[in-house]
Amino acid sequence: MQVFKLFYKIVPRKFLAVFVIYTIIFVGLMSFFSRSGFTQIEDAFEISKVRVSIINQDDSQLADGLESYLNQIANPVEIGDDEDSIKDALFFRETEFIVTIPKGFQESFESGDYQNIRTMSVPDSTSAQYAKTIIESYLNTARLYMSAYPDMPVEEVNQRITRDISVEAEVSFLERATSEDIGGLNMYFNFLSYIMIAMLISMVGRIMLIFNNREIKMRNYCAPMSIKRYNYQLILSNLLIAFVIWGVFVSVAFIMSGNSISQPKSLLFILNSFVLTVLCLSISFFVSSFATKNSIDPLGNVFSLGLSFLGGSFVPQALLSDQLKTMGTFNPIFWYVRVNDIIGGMNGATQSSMDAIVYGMLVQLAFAVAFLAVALVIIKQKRYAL
Amino acid sequence: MIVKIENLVKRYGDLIALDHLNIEIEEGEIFGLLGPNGSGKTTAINCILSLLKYDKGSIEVFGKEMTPTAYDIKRDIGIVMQNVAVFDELTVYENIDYFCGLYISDKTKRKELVEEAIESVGLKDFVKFYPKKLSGGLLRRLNIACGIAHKPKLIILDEPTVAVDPQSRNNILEGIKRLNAQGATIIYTSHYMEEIEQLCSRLVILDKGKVIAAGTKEEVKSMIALGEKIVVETFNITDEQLEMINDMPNVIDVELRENVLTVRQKNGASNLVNLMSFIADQGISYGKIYSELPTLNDVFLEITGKELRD
Repeated sequence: MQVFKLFYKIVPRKFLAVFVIYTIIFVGLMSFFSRSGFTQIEDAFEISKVRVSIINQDDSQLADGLESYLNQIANPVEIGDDEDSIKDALFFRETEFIVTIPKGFQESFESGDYQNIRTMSVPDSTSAQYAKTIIESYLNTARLYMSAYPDMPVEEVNQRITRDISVEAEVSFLERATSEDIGGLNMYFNFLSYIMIAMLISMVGRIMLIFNNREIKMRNYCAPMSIKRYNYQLILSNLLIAFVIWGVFVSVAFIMSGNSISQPKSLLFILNSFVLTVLCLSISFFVSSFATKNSIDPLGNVFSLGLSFLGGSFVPQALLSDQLKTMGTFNPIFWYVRVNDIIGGMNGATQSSMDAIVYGMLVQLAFAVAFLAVALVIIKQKRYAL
Repeated sequence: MIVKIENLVKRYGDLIALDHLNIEIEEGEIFGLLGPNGSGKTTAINCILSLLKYDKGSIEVFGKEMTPTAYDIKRDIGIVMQNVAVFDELTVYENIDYFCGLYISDKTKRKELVEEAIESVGLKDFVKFYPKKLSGGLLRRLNIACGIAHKPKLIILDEPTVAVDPQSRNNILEGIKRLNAQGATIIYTSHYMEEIEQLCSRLVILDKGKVIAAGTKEEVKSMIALGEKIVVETFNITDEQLEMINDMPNVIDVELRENVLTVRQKNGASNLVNLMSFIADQGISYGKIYSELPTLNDVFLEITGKELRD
């Protein structure tokens, strides 16, 4: 095990400092984000209020009831009822939606001649669509009461509608409503992809450059040791160092977050990060197959930052554009983050979520095999060029 | 027979790097491979070590066919590469220990061998130094120590003194003689003819992958017409006198350049006494006067028409 021993003689001398620096930076960043309350998960809901202007020309009870209701659920904006004022208000976005209730509105509504309320809105405004839905809802309910109780006074109809439609639905994210506070862990493991690629390229990539040095390689080939045995020892050394790094960062995750390691979600995060470690090792091996002493650091930055940014390690994948998401399918880190997000968001181990998790992990492993295969081809080509 | 190479042909595309090379190396000798840069010396070494595949021919080491998986043969070979092959991350001691460890697994025995190798190349005061802190000469010595520490029966040294200071060069050459005296067979490649002349009992001269001369130093030198060269520092010699010297028996040619007269003699004949008498009789003023036997460079020059270091 001469090569194995040599590997572990070189590692602490050359890379202990790198390991400590990366760990401090990573733990520091994670502490900062967790204290600042930063989270990658969308877990807040707030009803939005539309800026609405009502021009009530009818002065009837039904019109007043509608106006009063709209004023409750929207932000009322006073504007003039002449054409220029209306156009200016829309143009300068003072209001988003203008409702004009025409004269004789209640009368025609009661007679079944449903005269349309005139509306104007900012082009392509989704808020206006929302306001239209509210008006529709109000008038449909009024129509229902009037046809069911023809003798019911309009004032009472207004009261009943207000009572009925003011019942608010309680919005909650059932998928995420679990007893485990897993958001911090989700973010930690997403960020982990960056640190793992950066660190493994920096350590494994660099050490492979030492062993791939042409003179050293030729010298080793002269020794009575088979190439297989030599490579086996190198692979074993690389695997061991990668898994030690992985073990350290997984331990730090649970120490920092305070989550229990035995929760099903924690175990899934750990499993996914293990797959990531294999993937990162393969990427490091690939980079070291063509990098030089001078280019390995820039390449390490390009791979770690590029793959992590495009994969959604730093920003939630939900915020990535469709193009980036399509491109992301060719990025193994995208799949890693996706699996993390599924684990973070799942409520119980359902078949569909487990299928998606296993699929994501298999895709990562497929990428790992592909990187390794390309690296082996390059190494073989270089061996022939000796 | 330690090494037997028969009809070895190695091509790089259209370029023939080794053209039907035949070499036989006996046990206990220091065998020289001499030739200018690009003549095929390193290619031949790489073929012997099975680092390169060759197109034709056969190589036997210790009487067995040499293959990439002939580990029992490799165990008894020590190699000192042309380019220094050491780990910058390890100290002098650790480097030697690592390379020795590829051959010797017993720790106690290895420790003895490593210390012996350090002593032998004169690196005792530098054992804790990292290679980057060593001078070029010391680095070469470390390279040698890494190749010989396991006490191989056959040691191959590929231009071990390139870019080395005279002190380190002498140390290296003395070390090689010592290794040979201890029983190791040595293959030494160089383009420095002085080193080959000083060290080797037999040699081949390579040019463009072909053996152009082979044998002992004396045998090789006897292959050319040139015998001794008489060099005279003179100040007032006339053209007529030069003609007369040129007409002396066994003289090949005469050359006068910047007051230095060089008289080249045919092989096996000496004219030193005759020439000195002639100079005295003619009253020619002279300074230094000495006679030189032909060098390997003369052999190479006469056969190929170019200098070894061209």
